[in-house]
Amino acid sequence: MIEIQEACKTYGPTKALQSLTLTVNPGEVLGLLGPNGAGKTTTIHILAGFIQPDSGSVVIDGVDVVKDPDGARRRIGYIPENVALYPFLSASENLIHFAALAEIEFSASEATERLVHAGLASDAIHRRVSTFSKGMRQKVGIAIANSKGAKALILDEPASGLDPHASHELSMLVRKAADDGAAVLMATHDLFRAKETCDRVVILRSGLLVQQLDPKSMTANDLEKIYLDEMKVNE
Amino acid sequence: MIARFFRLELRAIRGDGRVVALVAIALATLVVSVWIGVDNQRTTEQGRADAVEVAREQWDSIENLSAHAVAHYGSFVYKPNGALAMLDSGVMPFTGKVLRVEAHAQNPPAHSDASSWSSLVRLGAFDAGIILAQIIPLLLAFTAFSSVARDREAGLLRMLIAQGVSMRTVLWGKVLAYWSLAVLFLATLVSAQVLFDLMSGGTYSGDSLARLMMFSGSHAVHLLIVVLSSVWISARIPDARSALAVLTIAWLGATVLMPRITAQLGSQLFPLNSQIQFEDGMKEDRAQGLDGHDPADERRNELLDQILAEHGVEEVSDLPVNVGGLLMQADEDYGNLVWDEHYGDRHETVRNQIGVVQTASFLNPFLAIRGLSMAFAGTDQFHDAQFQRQAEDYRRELVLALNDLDAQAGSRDEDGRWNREEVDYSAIADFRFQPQTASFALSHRWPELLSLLLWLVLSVALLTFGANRIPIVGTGR
Repeated sequence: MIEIQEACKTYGPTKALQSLTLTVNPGEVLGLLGPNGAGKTTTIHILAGFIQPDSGSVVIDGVDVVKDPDGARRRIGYIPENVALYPFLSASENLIHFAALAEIEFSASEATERLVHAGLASDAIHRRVSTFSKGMRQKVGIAIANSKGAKALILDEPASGLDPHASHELSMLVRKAADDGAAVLMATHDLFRAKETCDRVVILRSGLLVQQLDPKSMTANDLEKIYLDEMKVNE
Repeated sequence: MIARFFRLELRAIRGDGRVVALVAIALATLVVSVWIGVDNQRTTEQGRADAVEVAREQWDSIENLSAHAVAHYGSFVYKPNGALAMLDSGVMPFTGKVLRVEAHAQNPPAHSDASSWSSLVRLGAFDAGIILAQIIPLLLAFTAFSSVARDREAGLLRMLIAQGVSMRTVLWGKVLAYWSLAVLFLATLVSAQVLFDLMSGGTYSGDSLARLMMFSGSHAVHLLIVVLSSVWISARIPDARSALAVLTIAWLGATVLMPRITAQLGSQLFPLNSQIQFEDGMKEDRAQGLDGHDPADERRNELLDQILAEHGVEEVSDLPVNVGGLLMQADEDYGNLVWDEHYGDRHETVRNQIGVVQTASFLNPFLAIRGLSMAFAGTDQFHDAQFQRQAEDYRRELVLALNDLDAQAGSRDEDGRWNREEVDYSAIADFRFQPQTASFALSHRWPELLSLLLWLVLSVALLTFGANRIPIVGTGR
């Protein structure tokens, strides 16, 4: 479970988060929508323990992120917008290395299997990732995040740069992780993907949570209309 | 886990052609510097041995000269190179290496190596000690400045940390990888030094090996401090370019500006008399003493009366000894007291100047390693002063022996005239320099050693306990 209570964060005069409170239950996928600068990435970074909130509490699977960031990180899988890997290692070597950091040992064949499962073409698995497209790196990132069997998945626009097929595969993987009991929080600009994947979406604007919606109860067009209306209020 | 990051960082370093080229150039430079150092050592030692032989031949060929005349004739002593001068020449090229020993005068060492250098050598002179203390740190800083900043900017740091690994582990893996380059430099240096030295017929005493170990060990610690600082700055400064700027400025301040400022400060606080002032002061004070050559000198005549009384005679012609030798030794004894005072003051002033640099080394580890490097190589001011001290001791023994001969070797004839015996001066031994042990270096350089250890503890503590405060993400949100 992911629990954020009254989290605030400012950068100088800018209020990046204003008393954000939200909960993601095990088995649930929560979509975090909002324009650039709405506070999505700040929320993700606070959840991953990369930055600390000025006030409020953040708890992942019962572990306080501020008090025990290392303990909290052991419970999360994280996929950023741009997955960064060791360019001189192959996809397989990268996965084995990153998994080992989480104290999970993969054989080469296990790594291959997981990468294929994440949608990476088999002929790319033993190639240096310096030759990879952004989409291919994202797939390696997905395999890395999945490798931990994390209690919480935190995704920061993970489908950015993926082709429609890979994007769909990502949605399936996210859905499967949730079905396996993970709490998933996914920041995205892709309203269609949010509608397809998420159980619930929230809209952030200037660090404030302004809408909470059930995407299953509406069409993609309805979701888009509500979102755009919220942005107009902002203007 | 640290080993995992160590291997990966090392692989990243190996994959960077620019770094590989820089490391190769640095290794070649080190090897060449050692080769030049060993060759210089061999050449100067051969030159010294030849000069000692010539001086001995001249000494042995002395005939028909009184002992007093021989004391004036004097001899030459030659300064041997420091134990590891081929690695760090220290102050030795700038101090004299030949000293004339004679009665009534304490001459300063003359003929420094630097006085015979061409202007080109002055610009380009280098040795391994300087390369290790000044150039290698710059190379390590250029290599490590982006070690963390690069990973942060690329987003790799977030990926690593999100896997549950601690920042401390990541940083230590990087530190060990960059420090392994330093160890590579030192291992190459020591291997080259031993190889070249053995090839040119050198031998190793236990003390030389102890010095070599302390020389390498102190440089290894200094370079570890450099690496720890570079990785720390790379981690704390938001972007790689700023980290490089900070490291470059720090290097300039530590190795170029501060040593000059500190040396200048030492000279201002504890000004050293010029050689001319030193000699004039000596001359003035000696004039207050007994002049063995001047028959009208009051103190000379007082001493003469005392000698006559001691022997229970009234005339010099009744003395069983040559009074000239006794008077000359009394003159010498007074001159020695004057020299001890003046040289002692001068030595104390130099000691105070070094003290300023030693104190400043607590602010700048470069100053600490320069002092230690020279000391372990046996080429610092303390080792140099030992040559002058031992040469003076030899001069006193030589002059005393000759004055004794002048006083005793002979007999009086019936007319009371003193007839000198023919003396074989070849029995008088050559000057033998007693080299200082490594513990001598340690005993004089403990402030720098303490400074280096404190810097190490501080750097390790900073990286270990400050790791949690290092930004994982850049300035963006």
